[in-house]
Amino acid sequence: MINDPTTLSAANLFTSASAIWLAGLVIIAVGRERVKSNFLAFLMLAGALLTLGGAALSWNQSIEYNQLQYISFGLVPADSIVDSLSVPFLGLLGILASAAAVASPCHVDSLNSQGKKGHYWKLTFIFLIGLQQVLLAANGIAFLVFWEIMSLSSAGLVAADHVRHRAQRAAFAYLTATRISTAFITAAFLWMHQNTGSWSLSSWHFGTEQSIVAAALLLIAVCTKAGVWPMHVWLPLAYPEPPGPTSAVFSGLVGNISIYLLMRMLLAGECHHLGIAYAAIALGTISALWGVLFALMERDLKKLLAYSTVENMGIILTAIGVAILAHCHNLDTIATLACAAALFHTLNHGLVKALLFLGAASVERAVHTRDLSALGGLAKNMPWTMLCFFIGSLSICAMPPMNCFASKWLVYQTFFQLSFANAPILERAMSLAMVGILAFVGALSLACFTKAVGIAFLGRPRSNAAAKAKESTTSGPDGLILAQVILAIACVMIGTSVPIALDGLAPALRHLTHDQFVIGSTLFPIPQGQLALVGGILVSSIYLFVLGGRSVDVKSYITWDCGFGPLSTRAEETGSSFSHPIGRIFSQILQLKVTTEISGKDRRHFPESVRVETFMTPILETKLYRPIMGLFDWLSASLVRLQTGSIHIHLLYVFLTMLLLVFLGTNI
Amino acid sequence: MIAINTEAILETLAFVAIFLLLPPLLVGIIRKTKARFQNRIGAPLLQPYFDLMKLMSKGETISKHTSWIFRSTAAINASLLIILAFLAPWTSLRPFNLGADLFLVIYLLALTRFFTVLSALDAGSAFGGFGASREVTLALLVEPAVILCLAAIGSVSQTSDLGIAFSFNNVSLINQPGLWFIAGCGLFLASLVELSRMPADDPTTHLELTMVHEAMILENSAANLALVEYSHFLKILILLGISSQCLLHAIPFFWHTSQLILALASILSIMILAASIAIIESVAVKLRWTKLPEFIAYSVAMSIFCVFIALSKNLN
Repeated sequence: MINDPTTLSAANLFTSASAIWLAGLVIIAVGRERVKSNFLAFLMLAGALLTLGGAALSWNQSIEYNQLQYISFGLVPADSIVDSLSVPFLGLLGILASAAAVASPCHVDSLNSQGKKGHYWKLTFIFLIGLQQVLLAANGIAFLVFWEIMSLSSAGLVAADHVRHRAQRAAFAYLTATRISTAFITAAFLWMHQNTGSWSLSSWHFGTEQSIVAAALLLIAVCTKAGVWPMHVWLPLAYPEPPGPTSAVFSGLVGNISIYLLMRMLLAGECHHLGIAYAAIALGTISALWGVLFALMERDLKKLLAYSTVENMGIILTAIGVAILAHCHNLDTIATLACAAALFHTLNHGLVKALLFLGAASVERAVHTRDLSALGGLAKNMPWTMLCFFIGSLSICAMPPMNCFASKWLVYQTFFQLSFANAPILERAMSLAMVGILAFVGALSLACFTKAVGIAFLGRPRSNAAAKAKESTTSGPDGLILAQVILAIACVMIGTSVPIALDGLAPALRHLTHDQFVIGSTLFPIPQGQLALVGGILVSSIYLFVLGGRSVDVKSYITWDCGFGPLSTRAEETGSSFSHPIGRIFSQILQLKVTTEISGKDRRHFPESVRVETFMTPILETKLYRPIMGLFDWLSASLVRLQTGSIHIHLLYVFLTMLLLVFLGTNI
Repeated sequence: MIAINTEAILETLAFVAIFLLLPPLLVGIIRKTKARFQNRIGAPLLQPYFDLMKLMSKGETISKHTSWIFRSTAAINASLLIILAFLAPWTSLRPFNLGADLFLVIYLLALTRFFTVLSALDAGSAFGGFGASREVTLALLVEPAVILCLAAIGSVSQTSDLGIAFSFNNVSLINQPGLWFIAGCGLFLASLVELSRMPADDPTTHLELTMVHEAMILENSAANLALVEYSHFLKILILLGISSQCLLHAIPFFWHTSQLILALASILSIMILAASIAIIESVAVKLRWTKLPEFIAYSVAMSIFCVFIALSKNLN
């Protein structure tokens, strides 16, 4: 197999991509400040393009190779495999890493300390190598090793701005989440190894009775790492922290890699447990509702995006749940739809979320804040960022003709078709309820992203910094803008040519469904491209003939102010007031409280001053996690007593431990 | 492909003429009926046409704070609703079936809302802002009801293509007057909210405390306003059309009648629904903002009944 020329060249491409990134790491470690950031960005881009090329060469056939075999992890060597499932994710990695590479030089040049620059490049290169090798890992040990490299380097990226309290907190929360998920993955892998006697990922089958424990462990691990309710609390802390360009790779892939793991294990590994399916659907549904609701209430632009990731991870998880459910009932068409929905939405969401995070990074660079109440009116000064963020928002709200509409449509269609399939009545009722819930979530995300675009980019600037914002460091669009444009074009292109994209995913779908006759292009029958074309022609003709024909006559004047004279920007709608009516409806979940203080002599009719404050207490953090954290604090405080500092006592501990071990060794 | 023959061309022409010319008349009917209820003579039935023509000939003023979103929204929403008029099953007279997917229809409507809300926020006025905020709140409550009513019908006919589900020769839906009637009523109640009609919003007032739709389009003028108004009229036609189609399907007579009667009945039923909006607005009051979720709950409850009927239909 290794002798086939395409196979070999694809394998070579992947290995050389890693080698180039490794070289970049060495160069920055040795060369320090002498290395130009453009050169390092070029290395990063080269690796990304090689990964993309390798994915393109191997998209239709699976390759097993062991070019890294001299790296042995004790139990097994670092085997690599490129199969049809890892190819789409490798492609996504290639695109996102290219975008990050394009955006990197202008970010690094704006950093003031040499230490930060070195930190950025080193961790980014390690992170990329980890990501790529996780996707290529053929056995459990290699997977875990590279998973750890990826997790720890990304934790380093989260802590990039480590002098700030915010970043420290985020890094700790993120580390906790990755520790938990790694522990559960390790447990699941050990369990499967015990069952099958093999470390090879492809030899593990989850159809047996014993494997349900491993499947449950994996589900917990993935939920923790992907940020599914109730393990999502780290996500709004950690996602905003990585430095601008890498936040694209971070937000687009960290969650998606764990979804990839779940697909590879439970879908490709033929899991047939109804319990797992129900758990996935239930957690996914709560996650979707919870995530979008908190996203809507959020004031911080990047946290808003992070909560929206919680929502989308939930939607993907429900699709995976339905795929398992359909496998249990032998409903092949629905299983195919569900797999397509999960895979396509994962990829689309990764792409779009990366685009939106780059947009938020661009806003943060220009205005030095992410607080929506200090933004506004950026459309004038930052037209490119606005356009790209707008395209991303359209897409993440699943608006036709964007790419996410296609994948969201597949999710809808999965549930819709389950409602009249040959399944138990309760499941059919659940599926129609899910259609309603998805519509609800969709309407909430529309509210959330109209808020993000409308408050940040439209209207009048709410602060001086926003009024003076400058889009790029150079006269023309710089790297960060270019990276956004690349991703926005990718979104639009996938959206208008969905059948081609789905055909490209067909090998992966065949791998997931074990059905050799899956045809990608027929899954999505809506001619989005043609609709977009007709729409474009209609819009431009209406604009030209109805509106634009008299464009000379258009007078520019102030915004209507009821004749009171110029209104201050304080009269504008803010992010919080925009979402307040919805917040009131869900005030129980959000713990939203409003206090109004009116003071003055005749307070009711002629108040001298009015003070309104809104409070939100995150219910999970205070009601669930604080007691748990308190318990840990108490436990560690109690354990400190063991550590007396006296050498005699410690020698006693050593002696007692020896006794215990001898006792255990002789009696068991 | 559409076969090219004279009859098809004539039908298409009639269809386009109807959906381009009928919407303002519906608003005329609503206004005239309301005037008669208030013992006024009221403006002529064709007044909305005159208003639109007058607006087209005026000079446009826009706020200097707006971006490209503001003016393109008018053009984009008008084209989206024209596309929807071709796709959505609002009348039985449909010379072609372009595949009206249920979720596509809902999301195209959502797309118009996306642009409306953004253009309301664009000028940075306080009115536009809270109109937008209320609009997304109402949409959030209504959306599940609309999608569940239609999904229940689709589930019984086992397709998400509304063109097939609403086609009057679909055997699986022929003896389901209950489902059709409840779905029709649920959709009608939801349309009242979506169209910013009385219990949710008062279209005749300019009192800032109460308005939703009017607040959002406060900054629009001249041709821009004409386009926005026309799109809103078209939306009235489409949403009332879908509810009236549901109600027509509930009456067994229309399943066994000729195309011509069906076409006439569907136009007439839209007008009757428009008149009933006027009657509701004359006898009911605008609800307080905080009471609205309770009103929308009726629509949601009806959609849930539809779901139950659909589930029991497929019970075998």
